[in-house]
This record gives sequence, C-alpha cells and structure tokens, in this order.
Amino acid sequence: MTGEYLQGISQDLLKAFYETFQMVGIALLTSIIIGVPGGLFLYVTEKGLFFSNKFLNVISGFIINIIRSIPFVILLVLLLPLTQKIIGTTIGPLAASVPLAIASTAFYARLVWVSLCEIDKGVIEASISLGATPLLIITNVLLREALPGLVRGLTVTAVSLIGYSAMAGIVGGGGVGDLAIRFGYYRYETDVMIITVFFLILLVQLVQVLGDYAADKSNKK
Amino acid sequence: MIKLNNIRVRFTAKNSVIEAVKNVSLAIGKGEVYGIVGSSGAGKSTLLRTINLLERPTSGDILINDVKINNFKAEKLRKVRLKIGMIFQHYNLINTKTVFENVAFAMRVAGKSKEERGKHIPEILSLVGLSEKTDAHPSKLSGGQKQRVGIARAIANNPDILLCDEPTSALDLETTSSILDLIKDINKRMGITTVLISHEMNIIKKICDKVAVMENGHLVEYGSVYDVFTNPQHDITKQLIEHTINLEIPEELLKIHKGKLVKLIFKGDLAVEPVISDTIKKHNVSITILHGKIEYISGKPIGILVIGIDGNDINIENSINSLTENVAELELL
Repeated sequence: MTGEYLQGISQDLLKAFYETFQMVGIALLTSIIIGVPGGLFLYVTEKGLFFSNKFLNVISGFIINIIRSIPFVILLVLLLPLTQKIIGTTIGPLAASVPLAIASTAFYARLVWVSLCEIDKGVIEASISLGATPLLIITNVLLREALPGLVRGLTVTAVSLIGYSAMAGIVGGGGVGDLAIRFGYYRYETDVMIITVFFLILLVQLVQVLGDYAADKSNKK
Repeated sequence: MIKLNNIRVRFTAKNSVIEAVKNVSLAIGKGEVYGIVGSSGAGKSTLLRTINLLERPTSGDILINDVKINNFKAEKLRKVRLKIGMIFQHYNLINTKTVFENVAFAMRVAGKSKEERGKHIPEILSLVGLSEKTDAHPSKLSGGQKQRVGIARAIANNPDILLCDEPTSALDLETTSSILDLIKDINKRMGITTVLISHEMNIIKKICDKVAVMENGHLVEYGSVYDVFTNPQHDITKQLIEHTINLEIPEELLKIHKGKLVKLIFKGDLAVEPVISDTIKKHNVSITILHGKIEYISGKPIGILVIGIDGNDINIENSINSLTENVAELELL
C-alpha cells in the first residue's frame, strides 16, 4: 500500500462522511420537525384524549404504518418522481435525503407515540382538572414528561438512518455505507471495506453515547 | 353550592352497558366537608368526577352556584375548572417538574404572571408544610409529601371547591391523619367546599360534616355524619360502620359467661354510669362490663357497652326493660 493510495482512501472517506452527515442531518431534522407533531397527533387523537377522533387517528396511524412497511430500497425508487419535483434531480446526497427523511419521519413519529404512551394518564387528567388548555398540556406536560424517551427515540432513528443511508448509493447519494459497498463489495477491496466499516462502527457508537448522555441530561426526575 | 340532579353515568364496554352511577341526586352546601363512602366499584369515584366533568354524565344536571355546567365545553369549562381543585389517590404530579414548578403550572393555567407566582407559591408551600422541598422533584418525596404538593397545586388558584379522590388510600395511618388534618385546616381557613370520597368510614368520621353512602351506583343513604353513624339504615352502611366501631367479644368469654349478654348504645349526652348502677340497685341483678368504647363523631359522643346481666329470670327481664328506656339502643347478643 502506498501513501498515495491511503491518501486517496482518506479523501474518499472524508467526502463520504460529509455526505452521510448531510443525509442523516436533513432526515433527522425533518423527523423532529414533522415526526414530533406527527407522533403527538397520533397520541392526542386517541380514545379518551382531548382531541379524540377515531377517524383521524386510524388514518394517521395507517399512513405511518404504510411508510414503515415499505422496504427502504423500494421507497427510494417509488419516491423518485417526488424527489425530482422537490430537489430538481434524483441523484446525489440531497436527492437521497428525500426518501430518507420520509422513512425516518414515519419511524420517529411512531417512537414519539410510544414515549407519549408511557406517560401516566393520571398526570394528564390532573392537568385537565386544573383547567389547562391542550396547548399548555402538550408543551408543559406531554413533551416534558416524554423528553427522555424522545431523545432516546431520536438516537435509535439516527442509528437506523446511518444504516439506511448506505442504500442511498443506488441514487448516487454517497456516504460511508455506500463507500463500503462500492469499494469493498463490488471492487473486492476488502481493506477499504474493513476501514469504512470500522469508521461506521465508531460513528454509531459515538451517536449512541451522545444520545444516552443527552437522554440522561433531559431526565429530570 | 354543588347540586347533582338525577345523575346517571353509563359506560359502554364490549357488548355491554355498565351503569356506574344510577340516578343520584345530591346537594352539597357551601363550606361543607362532604364525604361519599362506599366499597370499591360503588360508583363514588365516577360521581365525584362528574362534578368537574372529567366524566360527563349520560343524563342529569350538575349545578355549581346555580349554574348548570354539564354542557360547558372548552373555554367555558376551563373557567369553571379553575374554581374546582382536585387531588388524587396517586397524586398525579408532573414528575419532571419540581414542587415549585408543579404549583407554578397550575397558576400559569390561570394566567398568573411570573411575579404573582413567585410571591404566592412560597405562601402556599408553607401552608402545606413543604417550604423546604421547593426545588425537589416528586421522586424525592414521600407519599405524604407528594399529596401535599397535590393539595398545594389544587388550591393554588383559590378554588371554591376541592374534590378529593381517595386522597389517603395509598398512605400509612399516621400520614393519612396528617393529610386529613391539612384538608380540614384548608377547608376552615379558606371556606372551601370539600367533597371527599373514601371506602373507609374512619376517614369520613374524622373530617366530614355530612356523608352519602353509595352501593352499586345507587345513593342509598345520606345525612350528617353523626346521624348516619349512630342510626344507620341501610345494610351497607351498617357494614361500613362495623369496620370502624368494632366491638368483638372473644368466643371464650361468650362461652363461659352466664346470664344475658346485652349491647347498649348511648348517644349524645346520656350518662352511662348512673343507668348501670341504678339498674343494679333497682332490679337486684349483677352487671359485668365486658367491653366498651366511646367514639366522638363531629365532637359528639357515641358510647357502646357490652354488659352481662346475671340474676333470676324475672329480674333480668325487668332490668332489660328499664335499660331499654334509658339508652338509645339495646341489642340482645
């Protein structure tokens, strides 16, 4: 192995990391902006809660489940026309971010719902008995009590996203996972594959450690 | 103050309709501590929850200060709820907020400014005896302290009504007593109309002025606590009272005792001693006191005495007759 070769790999890796961060970052941000309200919507339209509405609840749950049940590779292809419309192209990390964002938003919305379900119904009832508005209950009780769960869910989503983003290579999205597949798998450069997988492991570990730390910090019990 | 007219609450479970509250009417006066007692599943909790519409009645009216509230929704309902505090068996505190923040949340709901909150909350916390726990989270508090936070939160907006849903059922005896004292103290201090439900007559006896007894969704009996205790009409009431005024005589004693065993109940100011000694003198019988107890309910005494009367049959008969005239109730055992 020559120095030039190693330099080549490290440059590829750097670029791949940048692309991964871009894709995962956009998808995570979308998950927070849309997934949290989505999970909340799913929760507050449930039976016995203040916006109880069976129709909307079933519909929203159904949409989330449809997205979650489509294998990501297929979703990637299915969404090509939409990607074309939004980004103007179907190639590159930005284009890959569209299906990633949609898949992870649905995934995270379900996790948000799960953490909300953990909240003691009595606390919500007590807030209602105080005369609190739904908005105040959502911001002061629901999101606050569920915060550690929301952070943990976001960590899980981020790790899954890193995995999903490997498939973004199909539309030329790039990223670390894609690098491992292209060099290591298609070109039989096992050493490149090992190095990239090693960095992937490191990245996932880092995300998990950071996520656990943030969840701990947000847990104010 | 609170009027419940012909309240029915029906739940539809799978394929069946359960009527938890069956045509209950009740009037609760201003400043009263009103107890609703019954065994679990009697519908008392459901009835209580209709007062602030946590449970909407299937039919019937709820009037608060002569205003019919059962069709109130959204903003109008929230305004009413601001004036009705509620405490719960399991406290239902916001776990991620400190004691201060829990009370502050209640005041934010009422639109109180930060200054008002900062001024008022220390006062409330000192009233409930939690000044030192201001910045603690609920997980660091004992059960009794948690209920004190619950009470502080419930009274933070100076409500007219306080609803207590089994407030001491998860607490030990000593803590129960101190929480009840606090509720009574707040009732007196703020003149707050208090409705308390419990499955224990002991608790009703300790702080309530009036009591309603529920069984299977029906209101079977109600009145002043003293009247209900001293003259229970319904079987379920008698049962509930027996748990508190418990005079059991050991089997062995019953076996060896000769003569008649009689249970006497004295109410109000009837003096016990002269009646007994008079009977002994007049009817030439010997009387042994086997068991006795005096309970004070709402400050008035009720005495229960189990005595054995021995002598010849006619004398026993005569003494029982004269005792019957002089005590509130006499029961042959």
